[in-house]
Amino acid sequence: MKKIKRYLAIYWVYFRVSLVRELTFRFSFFTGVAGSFVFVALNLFIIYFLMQKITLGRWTEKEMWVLLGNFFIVYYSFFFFFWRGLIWIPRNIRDGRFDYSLLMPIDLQFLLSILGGAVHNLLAFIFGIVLTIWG
Amino acid sequence: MNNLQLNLGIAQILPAIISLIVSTLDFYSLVILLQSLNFRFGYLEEITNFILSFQDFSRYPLDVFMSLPVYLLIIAVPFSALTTIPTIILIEKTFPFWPFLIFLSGSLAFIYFVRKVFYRAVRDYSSSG
Repeated sequence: MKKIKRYLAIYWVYFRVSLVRELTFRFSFFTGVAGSFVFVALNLFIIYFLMQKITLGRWTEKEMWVLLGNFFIVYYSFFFFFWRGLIWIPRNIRDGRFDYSLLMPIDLQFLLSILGGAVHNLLAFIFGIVLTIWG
Repeated sequence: MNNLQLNLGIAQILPAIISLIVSTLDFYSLVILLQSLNFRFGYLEEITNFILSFQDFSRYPLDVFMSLPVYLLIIAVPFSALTTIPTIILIEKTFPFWPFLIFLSGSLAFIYFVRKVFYRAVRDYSSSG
C-alpha cells in the first residue's frame, strides 16, 4: 500500500509538471485541443454517413456510437497517460539519456510511461465517455 | 443508456469499465513491446506511428472483418477486439461472461509477457552518451 501511495505521488508530480509545461505555451495547447476536436468530429461524420449508406453486420447506429465512444476512451486515455513518455524512448536511447532513467530508484516501465501525457487529449477522452453514455 | 433502452446495473458497468482499462493497457503493452526493439536496434523512432496506423481497425466491430483474408485478420481482430468487447459487454442484454473472462485472462497474460520482454530487452541497452 505504501508503495502504491509512493507511485501515485510520483505520478502526480510528473502530471503537474506536464500540465504546467503544456499550459506554458497556450497556443500550442489550443492547437492540440483543435486537433483532437477535428479528429473526433471527422470520426463522428464518417460513422454517421457510413450508417446512412450501409449496414455494419448486426450493429445498429446507436450501438456504433457506443463503439466509437469506447474507441475514444481507449485511445485517448492511452494518449493522455502514456503517449509523450513512449515516443521519447527511441531518442533517449539514441543520445544516452536513457542512463538517467536506469539510475532512478523506481520501476523503469512505470517511469518511462509517465514522462508526460498530452493533457489536451483529456477532452476527447471525456467526449468518449459522454458519447458512450449518450449512445 | 436511454437511447438503447438498456437497464444497466453495476454488474454490467463494472466489467465494461474493467475491460476498457484492460484494452488501454493492452494497446499500451503492444507499443511497449515494439518500443523494446529500440534496445536491440538502437533507434526506431517511427515504430509507434507504425502501430498507430492500425488503430482504424478499432473503429469498427469485429464481425465486419470476418470476411478478410487470414493475414489481415491476424492484425484486424486484436485491434477491433480492444473496442468491440467492452461495447458488447455494455450493449448485450445478458452479460457475456465467458468472452469477458477469456479477454481478461488473455490480456493479463499479454501484459505480463510484455513486461518480461521489456526487461529482457533493457539488458541489450548500451549507452551511447
